[in-house]
Amino acid sequence: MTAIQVVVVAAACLMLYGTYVAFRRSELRGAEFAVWTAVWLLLGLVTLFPDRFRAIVGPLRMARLLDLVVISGMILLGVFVFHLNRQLRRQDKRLELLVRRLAVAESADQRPGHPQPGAEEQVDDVAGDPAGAPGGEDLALREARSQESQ
Amino acid sequence: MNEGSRVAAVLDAIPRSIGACARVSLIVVDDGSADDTATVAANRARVVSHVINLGKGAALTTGCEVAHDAGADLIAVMDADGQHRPEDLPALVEPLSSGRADLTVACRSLSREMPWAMRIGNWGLSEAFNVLFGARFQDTQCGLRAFTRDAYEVLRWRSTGYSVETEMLVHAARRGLRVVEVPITTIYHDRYKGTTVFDGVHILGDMLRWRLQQVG
Repeated sequence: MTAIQVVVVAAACLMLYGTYVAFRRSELRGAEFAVWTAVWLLLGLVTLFPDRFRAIVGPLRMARLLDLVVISGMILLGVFVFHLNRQLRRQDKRLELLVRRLAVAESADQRPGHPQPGAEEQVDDVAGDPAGAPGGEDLALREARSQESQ
Repeated sequence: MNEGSRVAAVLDAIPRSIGACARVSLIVVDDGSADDTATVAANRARVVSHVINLGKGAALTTGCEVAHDAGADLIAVMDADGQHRPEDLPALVEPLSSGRADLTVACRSLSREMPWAMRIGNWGLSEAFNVLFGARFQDTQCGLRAFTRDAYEVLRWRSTGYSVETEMLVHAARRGLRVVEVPITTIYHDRYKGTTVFDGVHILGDMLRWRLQQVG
């Protein structure tokens, strides 16, 4: 067993353990646990028993097993980056909506007619908007609809 | 954001009636400031505070939605750092109230008073916009703008950062809004706040994306 095999197998074992711990803490769902476990097991097995996997390299018209591993890894990485980017965008939108709802609700509460202890008096021209207190709910609903349509 | 030292002077200088607008309501969006911006502004305007910093585009959305829901007929947006002069507001609002325009965009002169990096960036981005969208704007990046209530309903943007100004113009071009540029004078207090080179690259990327979407 070469040094690089030892390093890869150790890393795979460590990640298997991390995946199991995350699953036990309910940070991963069943399907996610299964996918990640399969990824780390496969990595360990390919590293430990490369000869067993050489049989599938030929039919895929690849020169070496390493090429297959690298290409598979890149595809997997691309899928995960895409998924993460999508999740991040969704979280960004949700966070923005939440912050805006809080801001509008708090601002509406501080206006005349919604007295707050210790709140300072507002100047007339600001307090007396023609339509009265703005619809924080309307704004939230509109944004939610906008996000649904996206 | 973090304009506690300047926001009071800006708000105090805004006239309480502007041209045909007999009544002016002030809304300050405090985008997660760490200083006393909200406290200082609270005595002078309605303050809407983001608990965390979301970015300029998001802050403008909040302010404009609040104004829209409050029944505003015309909405003007300006920075709180004092670089825009409230004295320019009447000239900005006049084309809207006279029905000549749906959106007015302040236009800064690229003089030596503007920091050189900003001058190059603004010129480059404006030219890029003009080439990509077949427009003839002198300044696509100035934050001092005004629009009618109907125009805002068309303009509603998705950008949360500094691309908001460009996105407004893209929507205006797509929906055939009448846009008028109004020359103004700007005062530069702080060289290290506001847009950076990275923001400029981001804006350019967004511009290309919107152009491609238009083609598609």
